Amino acid sequence: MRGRTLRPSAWLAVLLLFGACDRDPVTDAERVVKVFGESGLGPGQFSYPRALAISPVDGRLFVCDKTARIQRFDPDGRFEHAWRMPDWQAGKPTGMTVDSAGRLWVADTHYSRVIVFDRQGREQFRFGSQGTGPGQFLLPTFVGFDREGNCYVGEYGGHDRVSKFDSNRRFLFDFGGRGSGDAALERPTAMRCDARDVLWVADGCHHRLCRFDVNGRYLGRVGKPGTGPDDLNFPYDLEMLPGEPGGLLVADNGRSRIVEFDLHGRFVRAWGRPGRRLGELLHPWAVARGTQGRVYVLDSWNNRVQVVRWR
Amino acid sequence: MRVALIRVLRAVGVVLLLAAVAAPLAVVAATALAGPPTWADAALGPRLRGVFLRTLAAAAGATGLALIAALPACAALALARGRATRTILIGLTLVPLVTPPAVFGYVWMLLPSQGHALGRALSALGFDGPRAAPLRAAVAMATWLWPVAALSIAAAYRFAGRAAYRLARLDAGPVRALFHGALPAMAGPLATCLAVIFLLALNDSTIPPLVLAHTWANEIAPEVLDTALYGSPAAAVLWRSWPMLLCALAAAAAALPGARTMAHWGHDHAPFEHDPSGRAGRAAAGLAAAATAAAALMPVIVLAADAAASRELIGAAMARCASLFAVEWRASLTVATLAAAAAVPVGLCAIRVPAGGPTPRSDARRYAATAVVAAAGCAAVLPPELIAYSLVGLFNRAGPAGWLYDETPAVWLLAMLARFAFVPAAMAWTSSLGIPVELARQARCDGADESRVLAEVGLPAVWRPVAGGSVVVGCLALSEIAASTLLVPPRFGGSLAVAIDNQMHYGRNNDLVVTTLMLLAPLIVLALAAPWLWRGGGNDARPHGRP
Repeated sequence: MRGRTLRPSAWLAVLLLFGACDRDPVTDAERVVKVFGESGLGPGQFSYPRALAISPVDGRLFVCDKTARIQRFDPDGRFEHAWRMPDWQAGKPTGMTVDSAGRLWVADTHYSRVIVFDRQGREQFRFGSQGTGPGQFLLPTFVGFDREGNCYVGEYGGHDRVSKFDSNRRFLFDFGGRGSGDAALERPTAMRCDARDVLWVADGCHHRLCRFDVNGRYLGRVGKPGTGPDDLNFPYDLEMLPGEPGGLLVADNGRSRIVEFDLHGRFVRAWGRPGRRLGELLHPWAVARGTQGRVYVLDSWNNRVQVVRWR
Repeated sequence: MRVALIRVLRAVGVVLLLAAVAAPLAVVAATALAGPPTWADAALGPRLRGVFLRTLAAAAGATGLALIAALPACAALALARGRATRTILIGLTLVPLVTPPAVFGYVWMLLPSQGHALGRALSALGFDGPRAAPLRAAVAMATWLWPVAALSIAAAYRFAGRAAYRLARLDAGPVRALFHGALPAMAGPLATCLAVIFLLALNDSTIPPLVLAHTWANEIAPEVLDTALYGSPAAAVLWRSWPMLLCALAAAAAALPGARTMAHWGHDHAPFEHDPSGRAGRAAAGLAAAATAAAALMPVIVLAADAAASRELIGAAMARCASLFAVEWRASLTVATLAAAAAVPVGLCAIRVPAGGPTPRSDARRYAATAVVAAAGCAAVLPPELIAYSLVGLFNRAGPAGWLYDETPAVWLLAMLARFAFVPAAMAWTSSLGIPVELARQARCDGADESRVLAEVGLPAVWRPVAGGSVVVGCLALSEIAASTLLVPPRFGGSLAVAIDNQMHYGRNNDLVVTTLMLLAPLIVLALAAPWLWRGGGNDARPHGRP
């Protein structure tokens, strides 16, 4: 009789203990310092936003949604300006990056090109054409830069690779490619370069991050499909955490959370879980680092941006 | 015991119908009566006018192509020997209907890029080009909806066309007898099935975006978000959908005259007189059955070819995919099971026991049963987004309603019932039309009250169709995308069909192909099982309650 009553209690205690150990003392909702955006087509409203970029120059945010509108916000989420992509009937962009000069590079996915805008939305230049040859793209998904200012453009659509261009947009080489090998990529969706010149590529449909050097040589990978804390499910975006020891944030789209890894690829922690409330996410497409330790998470299915105090 | 059980089940059915069908319909009606703030907001601009015309073209194309694609299945059903063969053929015919519609869009985008002769031919013909988008949408929707035409035509032939054909054959050849005898007699049901296909194609928002066609259902989605103009998303969908709803009303009006003939669909127990004798007849029957199977399993064939091309071990791929979408599998299977279970009490509310005498109470129950079918039919033909936004408006609020919406699959389940309650309701209603009036009269003479008549006379006649209908509802709930996208409770888990649909927009992916095949496997088994349930398998004996 005693055993019958004690055993469930003991299990409950163990579960509570493990639950308490696993939980961050600061809850996910408490880390949120600001939320902005709502469903709609007006200024400051979103219709399935899928790309977010932050200017390293002034901390301003750019958000692109499925109406092909690019909206600019100040670091506190106040709407400032908006414009629309020149062409959008065939499809809308899914990747944006701001370079060190404050220009916005947009991977115009369904038009097989990259368009660069200034902060007012004035087009500066564009490059790329449809094809599988050197310097051509099928469906470009992101633009990234290394520390020397070289430009990397990732694409999918059967020719899933990353093409490298110099700062004058001359094609240098490509790496990745479709297949099942270690260095193969399937829908690469984001790329960041760390302080050691290692390129981290979000290999979306292989559910992992791949590491390459700046010459395109494969160095290793992090993550695998699954349900463990360090497993990934459609990682769609990446962001580097500055300073020591540094780290890496991943927008784990399929599991609606942001995952932090250290630069050795070890799991550190996760933030967010599926939901509609504060501190909960629905299929985040992008994550970006702002000033003052803030991290901006594009909560795509909830049509909002959550600003999180990460550390 | 049986009487008590049926009372409880019908009470549950009434509650479910009120929450899932009556409440959203009331919201839609209230929204409609309130009217748009200004008519200018609801008017069609040049862009939407173009989209509207493209949508009409794609839906009309899908209707015509579905009719053509249904011909082998019609022939197979007409030529099949034996009840068991016909039951298998009906099961095969159900397979496309319970397949997630997005799968057809995906498959038709994959085909031209596959290396085989058909793929190369499609590519050479420009089928994958931007100009062929409306054609792609029509073809993909036709491969999804042809079973509606096949089942309707087969039923119409059994109950109207066959007798006319026989008469016409007395003084005419087979072709003349078909065109001048059978077809005019089947005109009503034929118009009905074409109207239903047109309606479904008109409202579909999952196939066109996958084949890169800009049709109404997906083009208005961003406009709907501008709710400030309309007051609520449901109002926005309603007032943005008015041209579509007008077309839907016209199609429904065209469908009504033939619907009565189709009421007898499903209770055929007499063998066909067209049993093929001789080698040619058997060959024709075999060929038609093979064509039906190929059409029904076309997505499986294309996806399996794609999975085989990846040369990955299928076991490993399946294990990975099961873990990748583990949450979605659990959530979707739970909701599909609940929807199938909930379909049973809903079906029982639509039993229409004949009066067998002047009994006002039984009259009221018969009218109520008909009203259930009519209301479920209305909910089924409305744009699914409208139903979903109505439910969001009702439940997305603080308190217990919000808890149901956020934390439990209750509202998702209600949406599935709103969309598919018509299936068990119509099956129960049409099956109960076959109950002989003498049986009900005798039961009442023996002192049975209404509940006992329902339990002892109504239930034996309808339990098989209701059970079959509930299986179909489970399958449809597993495949549903349009309403689930808006209603899945994230904390409970997402919908597998929605997750697959989302990934299908990004092209070829082996995990996606394997997961889709894993989803199709139980759907095919259940689709094949459903007709065995409602037709009583290979047993040719008449069910209890029939003369």
